[in-house]
Amino acid sequence: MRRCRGGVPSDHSASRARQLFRLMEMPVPTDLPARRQPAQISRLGPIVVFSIVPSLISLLLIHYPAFANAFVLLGQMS
Amino acid sequence: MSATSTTTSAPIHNSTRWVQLGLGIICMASVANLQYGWTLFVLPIQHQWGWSKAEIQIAFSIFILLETWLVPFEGLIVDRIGPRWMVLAGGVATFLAWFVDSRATTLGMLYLGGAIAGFAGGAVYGTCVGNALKWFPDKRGLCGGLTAAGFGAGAAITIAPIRSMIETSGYQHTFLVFAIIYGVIIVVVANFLRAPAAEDLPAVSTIKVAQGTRDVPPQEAVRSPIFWIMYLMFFLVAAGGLMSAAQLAPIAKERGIADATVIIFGFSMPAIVAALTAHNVTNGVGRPLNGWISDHIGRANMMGIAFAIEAVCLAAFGFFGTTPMSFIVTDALVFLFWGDIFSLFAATVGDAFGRQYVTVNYGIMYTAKGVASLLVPLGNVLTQWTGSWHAVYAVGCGMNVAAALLGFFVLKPVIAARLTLPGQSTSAENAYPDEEVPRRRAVGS
Repeated sequence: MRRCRGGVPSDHSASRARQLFRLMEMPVPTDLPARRQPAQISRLGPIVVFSIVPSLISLLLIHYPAFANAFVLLGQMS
Repeated sequence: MSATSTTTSAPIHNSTRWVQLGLGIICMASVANLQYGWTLFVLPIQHQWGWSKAEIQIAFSIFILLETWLVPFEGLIVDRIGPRWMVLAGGVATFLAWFVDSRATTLGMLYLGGAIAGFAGGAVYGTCVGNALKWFPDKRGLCGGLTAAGFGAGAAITIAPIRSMIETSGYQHTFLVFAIIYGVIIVVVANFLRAPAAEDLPAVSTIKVAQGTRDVPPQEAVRSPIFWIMYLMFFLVAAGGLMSAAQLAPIAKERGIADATVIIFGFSMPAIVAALTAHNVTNGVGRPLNGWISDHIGRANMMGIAFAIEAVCLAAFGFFGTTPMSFIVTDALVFLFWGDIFSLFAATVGDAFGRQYVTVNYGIMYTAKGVASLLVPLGNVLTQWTGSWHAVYAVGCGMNVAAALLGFFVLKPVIAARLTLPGQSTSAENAYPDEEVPRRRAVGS
């Protein structure tokens, strides 16, 4: 569970707070943090893991001739 | 969507989708020389500026890396906005890449050109393969393979004029002229590309291979066992082939083939050149051919058969490729069953995870070839360690056997358990889930 930082509830506790306000049939305050959209955030997960991170690692490996030659071979064959 | 409506729409989609496939192949052919034409420019660049070959080839490595690794990222965008804008951006980047190369006076500029070219290549490749998979749920193997093969075929057509122009007008002028030609072709053709709407799809009854019942987003696809089985198989076959190919030149030298001459169809040529030419042809032909067979006998069956034959061919190359002609033939056979990874896995990703996210899902699968390339230096270490390239071929052979066994005994049961033949579905909706999604996407594409 996420902690509240500086008195501002995290999205998780904000969600619970919304539920409590609704249960008590009180108007929900507008200054609660916006709901997270887990689907949109996690959709980028595979892109980071399979695209961005390996790009950076490979660009570092380019300086080693063995890997540079391997990448050239990959280009000639694929 | 009802079965009736899909059946009546068949005459409309048939011409449209083949046109879309043709447009995709034109784009692929136009972007291909960023990859295959590069080798023609290396020596002229070296003569002009005095940089070492290794320094110049770093630009090509940057190109290959970005082309490979950025495909998932580009696929994510394509699945949201459609193919037109991504291919258009790829066309502009194709122009920019070779324009920068034509003006490059420093290695940094050359590397910048390589990076832009990497984006362009990945954008066009990933989008066009993905679009073929979307338009042809009944012929994914054939059409994914044709699109992938178009990449090599396009290069073959224009290698001669590029070589000629470099000799007559210099490499910088050639870069500029072909930057304009390729850029204009891709930008123009991109405007006619679109993703299929629901009514463009073929009759469900024409699909002969098992399909998933819904469109699976990438974050869900990468958590499924079928994805990782395929990723492992892709990696094993790609790595086995790459490690073996890296040993071609030393093997040819050791066997005295490097200096031998052969006569093929009345033409005399060095055996090593004949071997490279033959394996480039079979590497391209194998993609649609094996993909087409997989459309009829099932993906897992075809993968099992192809990778088993590939293992046999690698062994045959190791044992029997001792004369120039047997070297050429066995090497060509190895690549006939290696290139098909680019059609078989693309098609299977489309079958398993549906159309809506197929570009990004296949883009992620495609990165297995990049991971495989990281294993090539290990092959060289193995050769040095054992003092012979035999160990590399044994490992490559073993990798293909493992992939074949995975195909027959792991992937096939998983496909049988998780995917269904559209004809066995209770309704046509199972074959084309989320009908409204492609309608919306077609508008934006």
